[in-house]
Amino acid sequence: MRLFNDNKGQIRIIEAFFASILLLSSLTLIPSDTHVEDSNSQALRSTAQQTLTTLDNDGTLSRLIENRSWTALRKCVQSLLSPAVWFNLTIFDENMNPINQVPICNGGLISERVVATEYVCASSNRDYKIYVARLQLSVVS
Amino acid sequence: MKRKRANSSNSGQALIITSLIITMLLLSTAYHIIEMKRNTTRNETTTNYIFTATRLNTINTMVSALADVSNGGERDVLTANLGKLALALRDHYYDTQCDLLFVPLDSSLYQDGIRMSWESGGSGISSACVSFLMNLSEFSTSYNSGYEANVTTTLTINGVYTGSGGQKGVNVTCSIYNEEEPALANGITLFYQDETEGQWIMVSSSNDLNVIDCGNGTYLMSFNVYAQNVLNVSAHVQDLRDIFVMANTTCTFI
Repeated sequence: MRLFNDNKGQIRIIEAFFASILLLSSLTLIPSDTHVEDSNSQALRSTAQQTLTTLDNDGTLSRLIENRSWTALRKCVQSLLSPAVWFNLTIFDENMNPINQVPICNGGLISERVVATEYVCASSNRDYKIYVARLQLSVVS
Repeated sequence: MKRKRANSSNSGQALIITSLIITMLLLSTAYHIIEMKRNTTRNETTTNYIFTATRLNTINTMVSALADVSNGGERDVLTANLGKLALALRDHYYDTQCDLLFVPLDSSLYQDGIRMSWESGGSGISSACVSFLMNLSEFSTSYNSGYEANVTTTLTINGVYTGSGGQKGVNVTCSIYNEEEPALANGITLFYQDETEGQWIMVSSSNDLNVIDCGNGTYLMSFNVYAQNVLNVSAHVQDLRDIFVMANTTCTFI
């Protein structure tokens, strides 16, 4: 009888371990999925950040904004991004009023998952102004 | 016997509960580590981006101020514009506080972070130099980065002349540098002085002015003048960043 009781206890422990492992494996699926999603967003955000800093590395971004060359700006952004990436660039003044009347984008939105990055852009010409560039990116999921 | 059975059952339950608690602890620890790792990666990327962006903006601001001052603006525009930038950066990021501190260089050469050495001697310098300290504060961490930014346009000029009597053929070589790297000019205007302390006269097409752009920041110019033996030339240059610089030299006879 004692032996039976001991075995019963051991079996319960083993059962508990199995249950725990099951619980563990089912729960780890949730953060794992979230992590993949965030990694994609993070990669997209990083692309947006690199695009903006590359554009402003030689003062091109501020110069094109100063000249209101929206078509040239669209072409510049397009040349830095993969054709599979949708983008929309909005330029704001210091008071966050949009100043580009023409949309700076490469078509309609292709996915609901959009990542946005903002960049404070100081002009390098004599008439000093500060702008904010907001770049939205999305890829087909 | 009954009591013993009950004890055995309780012991099993306790073990089960203990194993569950341990499992939950392990689970939460693993999850916490994953989250921490992810947050650290995100923070590093965002922090690097803000540092890079701020550095570019400080350089742009210095270029703007130097262009303004070298073209006749007030020296305090550098401090004023950097103050505006610092304010814009502080207010912009919603999850990070970005404090930009700056100290314009004051020395024997620089005043309020600006240096303009346009004396004769064959070289002219327009420069701005500022020390920056950037502090990024997030919920539980803060990052600091200090750097010194220098924006400098340098012009070197040398000239030679040939010919006897009043008629002279002058050859002038101008070299332009941005931060010690060869740079192109947006415009060059040459002047000459046909006597010491005399009036500066602009060289024009009537002087058969010929300019060769070597494409590497060096410009070869030649022109003819009627002048005395002492022939000073002056080059006024606007670089592609709109920064003005000038330099004078005395041409040597060859």
